[in-house]
Amino acid sequence: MAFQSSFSRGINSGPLNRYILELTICITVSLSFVLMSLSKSTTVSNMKYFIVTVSKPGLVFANKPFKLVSDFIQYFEKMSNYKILNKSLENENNFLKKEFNKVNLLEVENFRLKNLLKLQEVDYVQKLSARIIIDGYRNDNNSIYIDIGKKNGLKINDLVFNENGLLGRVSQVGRYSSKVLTIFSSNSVLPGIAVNTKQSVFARGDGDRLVLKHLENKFKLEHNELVISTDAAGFFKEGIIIGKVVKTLNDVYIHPIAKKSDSIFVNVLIFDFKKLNLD
Amino acid sequence: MISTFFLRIIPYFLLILFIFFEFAPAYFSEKEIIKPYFTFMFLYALINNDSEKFRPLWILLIGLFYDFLDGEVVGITSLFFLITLHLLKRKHSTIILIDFRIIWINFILILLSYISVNKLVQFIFFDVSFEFKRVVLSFFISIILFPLFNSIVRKFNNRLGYMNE
Repeated sequence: MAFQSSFSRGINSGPLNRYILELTICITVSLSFVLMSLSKSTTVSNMKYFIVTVSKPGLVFANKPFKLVSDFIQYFEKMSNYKILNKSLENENNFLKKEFNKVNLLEVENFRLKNLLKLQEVDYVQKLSARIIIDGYRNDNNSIYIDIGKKNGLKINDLVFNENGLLGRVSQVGRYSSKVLTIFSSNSVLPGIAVNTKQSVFARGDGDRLVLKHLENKFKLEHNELVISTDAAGFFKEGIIIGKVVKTLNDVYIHPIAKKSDSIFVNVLIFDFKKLNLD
Repeated sequence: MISTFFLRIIPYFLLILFIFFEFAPAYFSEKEIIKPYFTFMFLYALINNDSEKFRPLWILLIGLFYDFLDGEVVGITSLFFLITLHLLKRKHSTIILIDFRIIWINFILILLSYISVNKLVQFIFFDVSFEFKRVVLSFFISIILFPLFNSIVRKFNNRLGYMNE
């Protein structure tokens, strides 16, 4: 049986033993970080966005297996009902051909009218593509992090959307990454307009649906009609699809068309207010 | 010697990988996946099986990294695990063999208190509400998966100890 020397026994039992010292220092550092984040320190915020940016390769790597399995499932889902899918795509194609002809006519008309009014093209909106790197699905009201930030010209309240419609708005901006508050969050309130009934609405996030706020008679809205964004309060870009109205026997709400899970890539609209004010 | 070094760094490498897995966006066929608390389970299993070798500094660094990716309150995970490490060290110094059921119950209680404190602080100081259904589901999946994680870590530790001898 081996015994420790009286010297080492003396050190290990005292308050200055290496483990206790290290533990005390680590607890103090942790506590100071907690206090700094509670006081909303900019140092912690900058460190956070730096670490999020640095972690991007690891997060992209971790996403790969999920993406592979997802693509595999989607492929087999599509293959299993390819006949129905083909038919619906043919119908959609015919419809879009007709719509495309209409748009061409409208564009020509629009160009002529602009010339008549001597209006100049003002490029105050820029569209950027970004990748979702963190999905805090358990935290923060469905917020996500994207891989572009201040360096790319992003600002707070810039709109984030995908091919299906509006997804949210930028709520915090780091140097190379940003946090997006999705429309599903209870902290998100969107101004919109119903396309058919022309009713102005405010939609607040509520899980997987949007509830209507400040609307006296919700039942005036039509079932399945489209709701698009408006530029109310000057914060939003108008015309982006938010969702469709769902009417039940005792409630009316909006079912958002765009979901985080639609695609790993999103678009961000950068709205240049300075240019807008100069006009 | 090189193989022992690699075996020693494997837990840290896996911890970082689990953190990435926990935060990377994961959707299956346009549906979100409910992920368990991978990092919490793995870190707890590591501390529980080999509290002597796990240094507080590594817990601090891993906890801070987790919190920087997680949410608003940075430092809370490391604080929780540092306290857990100390409690487990004290327990292991006095008790030689602990029944797995007690380990499991301890894990459930610590995870529950971690989630409650974290969410409460976020709600009070940052006015952040959370997805109750997802958190509860993640919590239960973590409880179910913990024995598996714990046994893998225990086997790995035994193998490492055998190689060192």
